[in-house]
Amino acid sequence: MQWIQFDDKLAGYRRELVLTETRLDHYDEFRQFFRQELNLQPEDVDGGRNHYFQAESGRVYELIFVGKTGRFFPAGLEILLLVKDINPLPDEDEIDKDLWEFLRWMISGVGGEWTVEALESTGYLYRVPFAERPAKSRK
Amino acid sequence: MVTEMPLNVKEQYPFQAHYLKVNGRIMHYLDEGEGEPILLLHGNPTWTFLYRKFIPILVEAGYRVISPDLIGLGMSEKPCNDYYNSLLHHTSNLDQLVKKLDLKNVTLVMQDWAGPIGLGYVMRRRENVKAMLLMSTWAWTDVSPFHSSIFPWGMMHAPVVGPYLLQRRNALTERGLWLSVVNRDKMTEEVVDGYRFHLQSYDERGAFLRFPRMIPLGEKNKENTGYHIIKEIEEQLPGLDIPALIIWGEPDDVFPREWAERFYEILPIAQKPIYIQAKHFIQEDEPEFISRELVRFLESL
Repeated sequence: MQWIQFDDKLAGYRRELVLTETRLDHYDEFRQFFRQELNLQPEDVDGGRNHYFQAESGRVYELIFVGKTGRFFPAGLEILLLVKDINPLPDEDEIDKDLWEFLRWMISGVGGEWTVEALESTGYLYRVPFAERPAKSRK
Repeated sequence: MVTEMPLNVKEQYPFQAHYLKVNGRIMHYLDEGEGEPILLLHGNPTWTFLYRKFIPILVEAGYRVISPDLIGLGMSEKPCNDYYNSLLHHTSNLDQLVKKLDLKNVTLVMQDWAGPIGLGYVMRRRENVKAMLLMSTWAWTDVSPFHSSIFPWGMMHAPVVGPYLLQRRNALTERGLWLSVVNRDKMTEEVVDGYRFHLQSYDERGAFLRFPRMIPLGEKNKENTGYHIIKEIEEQLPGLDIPALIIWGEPDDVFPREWAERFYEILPIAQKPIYIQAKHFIQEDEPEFISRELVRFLESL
């Protein structure tokens, strides 16, 4: 995945909400990771810019960070798929594959006890088709 | 989203649906049979379908069986926000149900989240409680090895990963149930259909994520979880002089056997735990045995 500038090209696209996280601070290191990695500031909720990433598939996703009084910023995150004109949403598995790419990036950035291996193993155990089989169980 | 119950689910779950409003939300519940009331309480990610094999046995034995779906699960209302899902909300909802149905001298059957929810009720309304059955649950702020590990449980409800696995991929229904029973041959597609038909969209699966995030994980997440409420229950357990039956899965990897012993040691009127070949979803593994043990226990009081 790669970060791209997309703000000036939004005309003709519609936003489709594909994932909502209301508690980025459930483990605060995740909230801090986004804040540092994307240089987010509390004042961003007042007209700040959104962030866009392009998955390997070519699809583009918008990240909207949510602020709430009584909580540290960013409190939440909405991930939206940008879909051209009236084109249909892709199959859920295709979106899930893109989001898995995003999760891998996020976990490798959070680091510490949060490892990509643990993510892949959890995904594999719960039958996420894009998760890599853990090395221990490979024959 | 309203969906008609598929025929194969109806055949397994041939009960009359009832609804009432609790704290402004629509709660679905079953109310079968006549006699002293037994409340069958479920946790996450299940609903009253979990008790489908208990109900005929308990009704046949002369009991009135009431089983509610937690708000956010089953055929109850599923709000799309974080503010309905706390231990106090669920215990208050249960209290409302008991009051509105004017149930007296109730027996509570509790597994998973039903433990802290139901014990919260027992703690506050002990004069209205006859007995209780505890299965694969907890009532203390200690963290089980399963819940404290990153793989798989911590990762399962981590920020952003949680909504992905639990809501987009429906991982607990599609895989978690199967992983947490001994008799996996019994978890057929028809049975899993019973757990999945009412949760077809992302928004409907919000409770799957909100429950794991309420589990206290020590100091780290103290303010965001049910820590303080569970602590209060823990402190009052030694004074809960209600007859208690404890049935536990020997190979339960979510709540270990030691925790059954702990309930037995703390509760003043508890029978020695009965261990069976079952895992966390013990009701799927041994419904007939547990139902008959419950009847035997109640008849002995």
